[in-house]
Amino acid sequence: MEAANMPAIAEKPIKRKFWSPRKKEAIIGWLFLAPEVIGMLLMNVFALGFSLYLSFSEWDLLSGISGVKFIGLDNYIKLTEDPTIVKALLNNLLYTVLTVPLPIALALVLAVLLHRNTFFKDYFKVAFFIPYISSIIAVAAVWSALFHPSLGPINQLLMDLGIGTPPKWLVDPKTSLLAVAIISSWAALGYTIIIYMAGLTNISDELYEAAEIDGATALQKFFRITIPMLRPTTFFLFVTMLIGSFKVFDIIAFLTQGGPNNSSTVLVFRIYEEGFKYYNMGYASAISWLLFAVIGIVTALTWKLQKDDV
Amino acid sequence: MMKMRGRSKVNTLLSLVLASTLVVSACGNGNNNNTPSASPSPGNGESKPQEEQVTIKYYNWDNEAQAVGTRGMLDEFTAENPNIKVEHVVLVPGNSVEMLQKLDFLISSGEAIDVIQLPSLGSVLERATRGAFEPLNTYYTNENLTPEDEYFVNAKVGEDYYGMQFTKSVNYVMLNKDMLDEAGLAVPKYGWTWDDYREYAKQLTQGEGVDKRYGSYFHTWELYMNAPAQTMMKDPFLYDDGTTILADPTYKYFFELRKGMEETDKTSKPYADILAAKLNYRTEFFNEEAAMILTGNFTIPDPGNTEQYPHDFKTAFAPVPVPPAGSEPKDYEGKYFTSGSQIAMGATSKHKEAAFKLMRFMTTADSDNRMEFSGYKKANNEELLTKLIAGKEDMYDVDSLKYSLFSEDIQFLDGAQVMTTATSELTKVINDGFSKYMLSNEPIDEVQAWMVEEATKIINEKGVIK
Repeated sequence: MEAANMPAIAEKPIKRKFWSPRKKEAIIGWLFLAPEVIGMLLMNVFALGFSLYLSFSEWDLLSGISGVKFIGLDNYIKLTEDPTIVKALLNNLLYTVLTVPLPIALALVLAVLLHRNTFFKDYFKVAFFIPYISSIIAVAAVWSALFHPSLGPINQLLMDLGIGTPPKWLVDPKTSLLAVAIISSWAALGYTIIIYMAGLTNISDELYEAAEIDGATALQKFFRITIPMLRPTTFFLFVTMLIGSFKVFDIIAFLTQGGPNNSSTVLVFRIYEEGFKYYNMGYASAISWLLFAVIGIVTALTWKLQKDDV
Repeated sequence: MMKMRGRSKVNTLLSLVLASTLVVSACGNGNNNNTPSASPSPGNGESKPQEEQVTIKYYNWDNEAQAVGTRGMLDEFTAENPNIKVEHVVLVPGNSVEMLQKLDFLISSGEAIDVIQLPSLGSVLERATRGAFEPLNTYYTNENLTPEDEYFVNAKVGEDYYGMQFTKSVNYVMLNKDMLDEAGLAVPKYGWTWDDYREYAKQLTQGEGVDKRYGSYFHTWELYMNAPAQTMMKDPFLYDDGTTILADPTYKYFFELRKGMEETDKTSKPYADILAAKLNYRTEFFNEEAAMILTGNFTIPDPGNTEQYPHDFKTAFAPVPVPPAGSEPKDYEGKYFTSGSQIAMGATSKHKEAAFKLMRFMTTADSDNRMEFSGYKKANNEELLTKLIAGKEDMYDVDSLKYSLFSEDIQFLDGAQVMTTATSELTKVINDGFSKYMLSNEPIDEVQAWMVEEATKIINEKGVIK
């Protein structure tokens, strides 16, 4: 329309169609994307916004949408005064320390050993991987039998070794989180090993050959070639496992319910408790946003560290 | 090529599924639309000819065996009221806690809920105060009924009635009669104390290690953390003045009794072991792992159920021990707490008249399909007991069973004046306090002070229902 009314200056009057091929393509593209984008808007963006709003309100779920009551910052003030939140946060950090760096280091060593020629290489590969493909609940059920305080094999062994009062593991406020961490690290080890082995096959043999010619020992090769060359793999594992460890829930809900006495509670479990046991939806949302902030900060820090390093 | 073809097959399959879902759901809608305009039901003398055919839903958490009984009662109801069909919805089989969670999601999603069975008075009040249930006052008035004359416990908020008592709970102790005889002990009568119970447990404990047979078994529930508070006080959370009962002297007494039996006497399986192994309390008793267990009348059929719980000893029954002098709860009357599951009506029900009819039928009908004691004041529970144990009497010490349930010695408390909606939070406080004392060995007085402080905070925040 406009184009037609405009005086033709330099351009030759090209017939400009509204449906230029570019536009057409773009629209078709958007149409193809539409289901996904609309779904994301509805499912993610709306839910995010709603939970942010809820975190400033009081809502008990049962009274319906009309029951949402805006209360300002009260939920966030409550967060700072709630000792179980502090406990959950500390537990989260401890759990992360126990389930991220140590298993990664162990997996690296095991992967290197498995990558070189070992006896029964295939058997070990499968053996380490099976826990990862098993249901975590089944794994947890077996471990809770192993951890049984008076009849379990672990404590039987400890008692036979002369330890009079071994820890009660999952039901001991001092060790419950450690026991959970042991189980989940064990279950995730296979995955970490597989990723590392994939990384190892990408390291060129020439590097090792060159090092050998220069007379490097096996340890030197490990520290000077393998570890630096695996840096991207390690970083990938570190970030994904870090985020995963902050979101731990299933295994804790199944094994300890955050107990005894909040000794193994974590933020996600507190969200579940407040939201779906006590129906404090607003407060549960506020905890969710706290968790979001924590994960955000930790991830940003690791990215920064990685950048500074390179 | 093969891959492509596979993909397109999948696509065809998916679109077929989608199409058929649409068709099916369309049918569903069609049915719904038709229901209200359905013609009057075919001639039946008793029903009013204009009455519409309605279908209502009855929700609960039956296990398989219970579902048969429920279905039986619902069929009897439909036989009496041919215009009302009842769909039985088992939300979570055999688990009342998860059932409540599922129910709450249904309620909050706006689903029309007709009739619901709920496990306790507290669970009714919690939801009634949030507007999920329909007050029953007008329906009672229409039928000239006074709820207090009908049921032992009425779920009441202010002047509004929300629930009818469905079952009636009576607690008792099950004892292994063969072991009692072996030890030369008599079946206890009303008035035996928890100190006596501890003494019995000592004499009934035998063996060592894996084969050890304990005198007593305490499960993980709060009932076993303070039995006197849960069986001989009006409300397990609040005094009549609305303050927490966690300050009660029975807490100190019973916590110490538990630890004494576990650590000093070694007559009770350690709490840590029970917590770690997720044990089943019924099998602990019927597998002869323990000689005594505190439980309630919902286990009456179990000693006769040798298929599910294989055993060959006779089971005796005793009233719940009373707290010894000096450790009685505040306002102690020597009477037992009674409650039971309740039946309530959803505020969103579209057929409230029919729902009320069903509620009355479920709570009052004299039916052969009834499996638990009725909370209806005019029900004959002795007759029900006879039916429940018929043909299996040799597994029961029938005299002590009848004594523990119906004797003059067993008196019941009135309903609580004040209730709380924060039962889940307060339960956690009790659990945490008990863990602090049993597992972390914190001193009892500090633990109790902590429990009182936490509970008071929660009660002040959430308020009470009078």
